[in-house]
Amino acid sequence: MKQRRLPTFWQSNLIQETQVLVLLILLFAASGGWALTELRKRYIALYRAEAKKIELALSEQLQQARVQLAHFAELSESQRNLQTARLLADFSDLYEIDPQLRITRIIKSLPRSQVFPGFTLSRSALASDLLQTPSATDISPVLRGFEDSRASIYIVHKRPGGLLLGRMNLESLQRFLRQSSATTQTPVLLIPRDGSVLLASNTSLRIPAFPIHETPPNQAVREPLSLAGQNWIPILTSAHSVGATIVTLVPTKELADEQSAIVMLLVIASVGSGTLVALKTLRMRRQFSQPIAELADSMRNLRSSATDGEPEIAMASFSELETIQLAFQAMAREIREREQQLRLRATVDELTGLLTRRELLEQLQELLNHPERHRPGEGLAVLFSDLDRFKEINDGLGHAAGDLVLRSVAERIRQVIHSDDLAGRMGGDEMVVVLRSVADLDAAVAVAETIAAAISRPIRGDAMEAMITASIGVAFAMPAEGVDALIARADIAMYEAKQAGRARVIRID
Amino acid sequence: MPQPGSHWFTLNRPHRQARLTKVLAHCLRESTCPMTIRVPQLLPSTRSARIASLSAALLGVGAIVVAGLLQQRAPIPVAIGIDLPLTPGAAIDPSDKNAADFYKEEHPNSPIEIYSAYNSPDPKQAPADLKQAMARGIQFFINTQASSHAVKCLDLFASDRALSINVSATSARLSNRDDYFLRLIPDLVSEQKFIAAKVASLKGKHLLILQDTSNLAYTEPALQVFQGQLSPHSKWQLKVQRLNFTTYHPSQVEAVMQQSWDGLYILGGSFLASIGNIAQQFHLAHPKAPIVLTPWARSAIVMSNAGEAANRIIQVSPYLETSGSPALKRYLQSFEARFGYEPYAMSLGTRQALELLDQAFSHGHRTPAAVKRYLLSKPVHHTSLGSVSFNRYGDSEGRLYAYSPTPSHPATSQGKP
Repeated sequence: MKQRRLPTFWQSNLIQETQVLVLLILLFAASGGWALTELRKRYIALYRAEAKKIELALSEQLQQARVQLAHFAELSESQRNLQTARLLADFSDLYEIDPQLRITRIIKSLPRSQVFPGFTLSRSALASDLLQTPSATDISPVLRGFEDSRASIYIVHKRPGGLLLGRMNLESLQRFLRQSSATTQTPVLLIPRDGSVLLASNTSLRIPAFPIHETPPNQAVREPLSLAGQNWIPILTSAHSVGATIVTLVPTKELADEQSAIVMLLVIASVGSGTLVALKTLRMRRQFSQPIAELADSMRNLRSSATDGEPEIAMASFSELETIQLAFQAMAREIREREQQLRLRATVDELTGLLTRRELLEQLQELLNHPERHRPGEGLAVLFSDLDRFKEINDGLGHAAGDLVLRSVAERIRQVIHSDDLAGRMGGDEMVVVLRSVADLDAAVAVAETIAAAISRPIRGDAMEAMITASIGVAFAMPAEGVDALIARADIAMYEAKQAGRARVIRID
Repeated sequence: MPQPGSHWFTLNRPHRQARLTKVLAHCLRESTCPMTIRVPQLLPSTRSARIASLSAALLGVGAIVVAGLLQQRAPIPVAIGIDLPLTPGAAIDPSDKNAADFYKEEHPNSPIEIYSAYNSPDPKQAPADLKQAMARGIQFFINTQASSHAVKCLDLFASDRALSINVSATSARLSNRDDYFLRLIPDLVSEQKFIAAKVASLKGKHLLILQDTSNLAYTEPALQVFQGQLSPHSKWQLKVQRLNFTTYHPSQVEAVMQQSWDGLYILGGSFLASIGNIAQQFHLAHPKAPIVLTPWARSAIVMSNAGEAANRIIQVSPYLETSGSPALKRYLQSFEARFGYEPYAMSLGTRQALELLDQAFSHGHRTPAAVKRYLLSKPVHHTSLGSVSFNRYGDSEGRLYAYSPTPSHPATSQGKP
């Protein structure tokens, strides 16, 4: 089965960080969108209130003019002269009209006025708006004046025998719009239903017409549009008192600047977050992922015994990691010690200090495999030794005495042989010596006899003394001879020594 | 870089379709004659070349069809000329703008896309105004420019770069020219002859003519034609008084109006409400004398300001009186219901011009040259407000009417909600 390739901790962490970053950016975008919308709402709300104020102020001004006209009408005919009329600053033109809607007297008029005494309004818009219909009010909608085609609002006051008609002073109205506009820093337009701009606070804008499809019931905000080279958000406020719409053009620049600032802030926050996440991830890699990877490498090395020494681990940046590293180092140390002990047990006989059977045979095999390592004219010999009547010592004097005998024999063998010769315990009281470099079988036999002589010396222990001899078989390795064959031959020789009466050395050719 | 034998082209929009067709035809020719294929390094075999060429041809056909369909659906900008007021501070008359908006509301699927093009009051500024609109890619204009403006802009419509349908300028200098300036109104020669004939039929001897000096490009030749037509054998003695209708003040003509007159001809060269005031001033002194008005003066606001003088007005117009044309009446009523006022008569031409352009566009003619060919190819075009006929130069061959406006209800204010 194919092993699944898992991502590294760093990769996994990077993916998670990226996911978090994306979510964060989405959150920024959502909150940014909300903030932009909210900002626009609040920005417009301010101007909506201002636009409403203009409508209210306009109504108040009309009301004030209406009262002025009423007071003027109460004056006697002689008092209703030009001097008195000049005091009515809200009116640019004042007329007395007979019931047939003919101007009987022009009390006050602008120099450019195209109206003359006798001028009849019978077919004019005013006739239906103010004078004749039952539902007529006393304030006209904003319309083109019959005096000069300019935007006009008329107020009529009915009195016995005729009417008093006043045209609102456009300069005053214009000034009013200009002042309102100056307060709010927004152009204000007065627009009838046909969409033509009858009055504008800012004449330099030169907006002849405005796309108004229907009068809003109260107030409406339209989509931004471009007029006179600038972008505006139009707020349409119904001016019921004059049957027109007040259009407040809110410049989008200020809003756009603030929105740009928010967007910039969000971009900076997003880029900053991304950078921070990247830096954090890199730092995490250096401080966490890399030490963990190194720890894992050390663990792998420990398993494969690639190194014998203390595992080298980078300095930890966190206490938790340091604890893990220290624990690992202690564990590694302990494992090494146990390994050494196990290795020792596997190669050295615990009682005698000689090589174990397996170790001896392995080393012997190694020597046989490389005959070229011997000096010219020398060879390898095996001395197979078995203690004579060792069982009697074991049974008679106890295992402790037997062990003492075995340890002493092993020590005497070690003293006799060269340091590079091998000596091993094959089991029980059988021991084998491998002479790595002997001239011939005779030389080997000589060594064997020396060993036998050494063994035969009295062995003294606590409250005991024993004498023991050994039967030794000696075999000289033949070319291409295997371990088993060589050992078997030495064993046979040892057996022959036993058969021949023990305590002797028998050679086998 | 183009590969040998391949076609490499970047096409401007007007030439795209024709060039693409040529390229496609070339591909098709080569696909039927393998020996002439010059792209061996691109196509491994003749068979492959054929398949590739046919595929390219099919793709080309598909592209042309799609491009054609898209082009047919693309909006066509049409500029509506809106005259800025001559009187300083006065508001514009939105009749033309609203006529165009109304048309679009009634025909939402029309490819026409309306652009407002404002005509400065200064005739010298007129070419610059139009050039500015042309620079925005507008090729079709419907304009109520006065003669003084239109004459100065003639050069702009000498080539098929743009096409203008003028609904109001009557100067003879605009007549009989093979250009891209079309007119929906008879020229002043026809007009003044008609008016002269009408005046000749009236009773009386002394006729006061008030000549508007704010548009002499129209009123000067018009007066000459009128005088030339009326004077030789007429009973009428003419007195011409020059007056700038824009800056008119009653005191300027008070003395002359007090003289004995049997009739007044207000030779107005522009749409101005003051014509109504002048008529009323004359009417006060001569309540029974007729007052003749040029087609320009046909508007509700002139009638509104005319007061009782409206009963003595003889209106000359290329359109029937409202009461005599149910279609016109219906249109004006629905317009008034929509915008709250009655538009001036020249905007009826704007409506007709929009219908004519829409008809041409719906027949697939989308360039000034093609539209002109279409409009001049038919003897009569039918619109919702009456038929339109052009002569070979694109001048109107329509007739004129003279009528006394029916006294009706008072005018409606434009500001009435």
